[in-house]
Amino acid sequence: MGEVIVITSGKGGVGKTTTSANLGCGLAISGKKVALVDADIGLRNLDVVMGLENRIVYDLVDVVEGNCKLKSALIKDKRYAGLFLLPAAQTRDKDAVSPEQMQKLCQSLKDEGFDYIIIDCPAGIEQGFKNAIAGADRALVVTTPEVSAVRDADRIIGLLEANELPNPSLILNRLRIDMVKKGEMMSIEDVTEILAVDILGVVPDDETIVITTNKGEPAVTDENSKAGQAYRNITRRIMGEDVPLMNLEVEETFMDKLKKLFRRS
Amino acid sequence: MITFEQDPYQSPQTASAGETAEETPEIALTQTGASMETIIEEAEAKAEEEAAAGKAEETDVEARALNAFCKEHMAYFHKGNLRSGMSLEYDGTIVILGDVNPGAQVKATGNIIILGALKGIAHAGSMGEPEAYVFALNMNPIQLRIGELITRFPDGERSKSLKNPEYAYVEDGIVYVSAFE
Repeated sequence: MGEVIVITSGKGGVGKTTTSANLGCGLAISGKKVALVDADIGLRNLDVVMGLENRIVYDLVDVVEGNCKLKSALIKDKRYAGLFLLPAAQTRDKDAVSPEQMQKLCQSLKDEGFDYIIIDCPAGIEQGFKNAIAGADRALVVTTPEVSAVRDADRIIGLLEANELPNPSLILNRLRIDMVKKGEMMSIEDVTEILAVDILGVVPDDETIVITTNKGEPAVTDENSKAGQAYRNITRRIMGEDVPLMNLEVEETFMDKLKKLFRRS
Repeated sequence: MITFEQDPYQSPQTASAGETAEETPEIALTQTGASMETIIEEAEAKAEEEAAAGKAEETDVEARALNAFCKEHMAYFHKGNLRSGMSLEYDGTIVILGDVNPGAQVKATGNIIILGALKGIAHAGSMGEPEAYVFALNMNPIQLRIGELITRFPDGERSKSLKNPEYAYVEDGIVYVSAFE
C-alpha cells in the first residue's frame, strides 16, 4: 500500500522543491516506485529541478479535468526506472484544482502501485496548501534555522494538526554548524524546542545544492555532497531504518587554523 | 479568436473547473476554425439555391470565399516578450516581436514567426496542420510542436545567438530544424 507524503513549509525558499526532488530520487535509488507530484500550480519548479521540463505534454490539471489519462501525464525519469513526475500546470492557478480532486488523484496514484507519492506543496497557507495536504497520509515540514522560517513552520504544524495530519516530521535545512558554534545561528535544539516535533533529518548548507539544482540532477546522486549524504540518510529514515544524525562537524583545514591563529593574535 | 492570458487571476476561469474538459478558448477555437473548403462549399450551396430561385449573385460567393481565405491567412502581431505562464493562442498565424520565455506557450493554427528567441513551447498548425512552420531568430524551445507531432531538442546546450535564424518544419512525419537563408 502506497504512502502519500506532503512536503510543506509555509515560508517560501526554504527548500521544499529541493527536498522533494532529492527524497524522490533517493527512494527511487533504493528500488521503490515513486511518484513526485508538483502541487504548485502556476509556479511549477519541480520539473526544472528534475531536468524533465522538456518532456511535459500533459499536467496535473489535465488529469484532474479528465483531458488525459493519469498514465499519459506521468513523466518517466531519465535516470531511475521507478521514478515518475506529475508536473503542475503553468498557465493556470491554484483554483483549478479542489482538495476533493487531489484526494481522488492520490488514491488513483496509490492504485497505480506507487510505494511513495511525494507532493511538493506550494508556499503559503491558502488554496494551494489545502490542495496539497488533502490526500496526504504524512507530512514533512521543511524549515531553515531562521526565526521567520521557524515561525511559519510552527503555523503550518498547527494547520496540519487541525487537518488531521498530526505528528509531522521536521527537516532542518541549510544549517551552518560553524555559525551555530559561534552562536550566530539557531541550533538543532533551539528549533526542536520551539516546534516540539520529531526531527527526521538535518541538511547542512551546501553549495553543491546550487550546482546540482541548476544542472537538473538532484544532490542525492552526488556521493561527495554533504547535503546529498543528509538526504540519503533521510530517505533511509522514511523507509523505516534507524539512522543516527550525521556528523556535521567540518574538519578544519590548514587555512582555517592559520586564520584562527591570526585572529587570536 | 484570440486569447491572451497575462494574469491568471483575470482569466475567465470558473473556480471549480471540473468535468467540462477543455478551457473555453479551445472550444471557441474549434468553432471558428472551420476550414476554407467548408465555408466555400456552404457559400456555393447557398448560391446554387439562390440561382435556382433566379437571383444569382456570383460576386457574393467570391466575396465570401475571399473572406474565408483571408481569415485562414490572418496574422496576429504581438509586441513584447511572453513570460512564464503566459499563453498566446490564435486561429491563424502569430508574429511575435520579442522573446518567448521558458514556461510560456504560443499556439497557432497557422505558422509562428518569432522575431526574438524561442525558449518556451511553440505549437504551429495546432489543428493538425503538418504544413505549418515555426521561425525564430534563436531556436531554443523547451518543446516544438507542429501539427500532431511533439518534439524536443536532444539534451545539451544550443547557441543563444540571435544571428542564426532557424525554422522548423515537418517532412515525412519528422520535425526538422534548418538554418534560414
